[in-house]
Amino acid sequence: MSDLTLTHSTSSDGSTLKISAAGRLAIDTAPALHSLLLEQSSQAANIQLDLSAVDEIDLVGMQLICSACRTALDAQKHFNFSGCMAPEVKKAIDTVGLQRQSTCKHNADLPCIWCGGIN
Amino acid sequence: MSSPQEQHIATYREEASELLAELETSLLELEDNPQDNDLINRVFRAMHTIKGSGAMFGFDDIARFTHEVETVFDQVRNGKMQVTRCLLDLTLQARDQITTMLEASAGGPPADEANGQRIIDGLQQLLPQATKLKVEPVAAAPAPAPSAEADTSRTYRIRFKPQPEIMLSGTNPISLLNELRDLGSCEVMAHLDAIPSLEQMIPEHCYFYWDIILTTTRGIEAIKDVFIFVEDDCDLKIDLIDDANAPDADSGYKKLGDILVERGDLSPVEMQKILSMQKRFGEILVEQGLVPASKVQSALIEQQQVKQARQERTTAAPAAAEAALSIRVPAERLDHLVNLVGELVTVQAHLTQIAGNRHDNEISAVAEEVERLISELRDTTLNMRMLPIGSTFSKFKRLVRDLSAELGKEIDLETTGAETELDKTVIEKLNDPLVHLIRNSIDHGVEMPEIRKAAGKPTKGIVHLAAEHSGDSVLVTIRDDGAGLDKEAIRAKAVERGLITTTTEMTDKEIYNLIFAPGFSTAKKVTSVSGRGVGMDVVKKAIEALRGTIDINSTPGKGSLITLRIPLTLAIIETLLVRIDQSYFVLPLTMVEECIELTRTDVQAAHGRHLAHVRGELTPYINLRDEFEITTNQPDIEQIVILSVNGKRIGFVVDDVVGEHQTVIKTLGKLYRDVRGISGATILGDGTVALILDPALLVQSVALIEQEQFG
Repeated sequence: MSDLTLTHSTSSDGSTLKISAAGRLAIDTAPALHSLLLEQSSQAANIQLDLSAVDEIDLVGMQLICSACRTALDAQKHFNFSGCMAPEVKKAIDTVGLQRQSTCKHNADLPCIWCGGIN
Repeated sequence: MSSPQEQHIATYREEASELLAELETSLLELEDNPQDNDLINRVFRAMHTIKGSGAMFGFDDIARFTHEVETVFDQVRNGKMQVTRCLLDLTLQARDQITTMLEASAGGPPADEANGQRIIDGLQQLLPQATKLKVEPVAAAPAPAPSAEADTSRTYRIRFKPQPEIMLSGTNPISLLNELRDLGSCEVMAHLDAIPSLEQMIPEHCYFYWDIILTTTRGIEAIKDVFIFVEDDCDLKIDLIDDANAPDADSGYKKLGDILVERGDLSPVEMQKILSMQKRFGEILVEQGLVPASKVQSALIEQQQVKQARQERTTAAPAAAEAALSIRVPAERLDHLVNLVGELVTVQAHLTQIAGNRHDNEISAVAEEVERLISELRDTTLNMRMLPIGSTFSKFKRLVRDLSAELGKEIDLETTGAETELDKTVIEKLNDPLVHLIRNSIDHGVEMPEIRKAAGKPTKGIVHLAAEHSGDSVLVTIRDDGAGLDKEAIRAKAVERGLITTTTEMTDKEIYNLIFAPGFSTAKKVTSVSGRGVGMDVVKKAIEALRGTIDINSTPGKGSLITLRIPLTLAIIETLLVRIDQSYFVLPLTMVEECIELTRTDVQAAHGRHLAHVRGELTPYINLRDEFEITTNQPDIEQIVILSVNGKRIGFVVDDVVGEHQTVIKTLGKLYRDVRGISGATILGDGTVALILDPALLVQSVALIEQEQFG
């Protein structure tokens, strides 16, 4: 299994932060994404996370993304996925038991981003 | 008839034996992957169950002893102790001790208590200083009750809330969820409300918690077992919410409000207030912020799952319950059944014969139908006795581990085809020959690490054990990457023993085959493992007794390959029935290639040599008439049945080929045991006895006689 590779870019007006994660997002690699989110997300109003190249994700990775999402939503920002969801991530959604999150109180009771919700 | 208690004890013995086998496999795997938490858990759980059920059924000594070992592994799973070679050695010895104790309880020789104490003392010494084992009586600890109880499905609601730090000790909550999924139909709903903001988050902490609705036949103890290692690291609440035996089990399930109140997510007062409004209950709860949406969703999942479970029970319950059942049957009963089927096959042959003689279409039709049914019955019965050979393979892992350590060698045992099925009796009889062969590979085959290194090989040798189906046989191969057989040493030893002369010309294969001579050993010193020269001839005899063959191949410096070809079953085989004058013989059908005619003219044309022209090729044949000294009524035209014997086409001359025949094998009496070329007998429909020929041995004995005659 590969390690985690993170790349990020900000749109020219500074409003959109795009982060791409590739490889293994797990207990030993997730802290890097945590730090990146803390450093970069304060300025942007839109955060887009691309998980299409993730080949493994565990509980720690999933809850970190949940936390990033609700932190953004509580600050009236948008947090969404971009790109196709990698099959490993789709599988993890079922395994962790996130497939029935039909509402999220941080997202005005709309579906959770894991279940196709957008904000 | 034995009492229920006796039956439970018998069940415990069987289950404990299975657990001990599993324990051994897990320990050996753990040796290769000492950090694997799943394996540590498996070891712990096996011991825990042996202990718990043992105490429940009065095996107090086993429970007490296992408790001590379990306690040590408790330290391991808590990360307070490392898995070491020494720990595994002692645990394997403990496993053997438990096996002996179990056998002692069934009338075997008593277990050596001093040995048990030595193992416990050894284990105690491995414990960290701060930990001290207390010898305490073991209560009937929770353990899965032997199967009798587990025949109805129940639905449980499990709220599993791990402590935030749970993952720091190496526990992965997801693997626990997966273990629950293995127990039955499972709906998992994660709750996210404890997830903090990014600033407050410690990534390695666990913020998820779960509601799990599980419908299982395995009972609450099986669920508790899943959480056995994390019970101190989580809040766990398991409630039985649906029981097939409960009086209201088949009515509709509870209303959403009742579920939420029962879970403690909603107060009864709030529920009454909401009920007075005319809207969907769940929507109002969420609207009013009384219960988070995820909790309502989770309760709805419960409602749905139980309703579904109840519906399935009412519609498809009987079939589903039957499908899940399996029955333990004592082996003797199966043997008896196979014998009866054997008798039935004989009687059916008689019926077919009578029907054929009378030329009565009605009887013939019935006879054919009976034949078809009996053939199906035969296959089903024989299949029931089939077991995967893997159970034997796992024993050898231990053998290789212990022997290689004793000899100071580094050897891995690799296995493939463990799922290959063979008749139970064959597997049992194959055990000893395989032990001999593997011992030989370890002792004579694989070299010492320093010699291997000098020869440019990896220091760790490999013994590869494989099984695969091949027609009506199973091929079992034992391959090592050792030094190979020493042709010169074998030759020298054979000359010394007078088996051959210094001038005898032999092919490599013939030289290798010399090692099967009685009392033959080239080992330079006698070790406890091998070298007493009582191995290979015994192995060959044992394999031949199974109607199998053994073949040996070797490349100097690269290793040896021993191939055993073993028939799938010892009970009934498909054969070709042949006749010589008034005597009947059968030949294994799988070896038969073709049948051709042999006329007097052909014999004369060959000038007395036993060779037949078959499509331009010369095929040697054996005249069975001569072999069995039958002199009367020789027909003008005889038949040659051409068989493939050890890869060569050899003909067997008979008077007449009667046809295919299902042969129920009967062993010959002790007096005839050493007759070469005949492996047994069978009874034909009219009561005539036909001898079962062993073509390979017949060819060998004819070759030997010719060698003696012509030098």
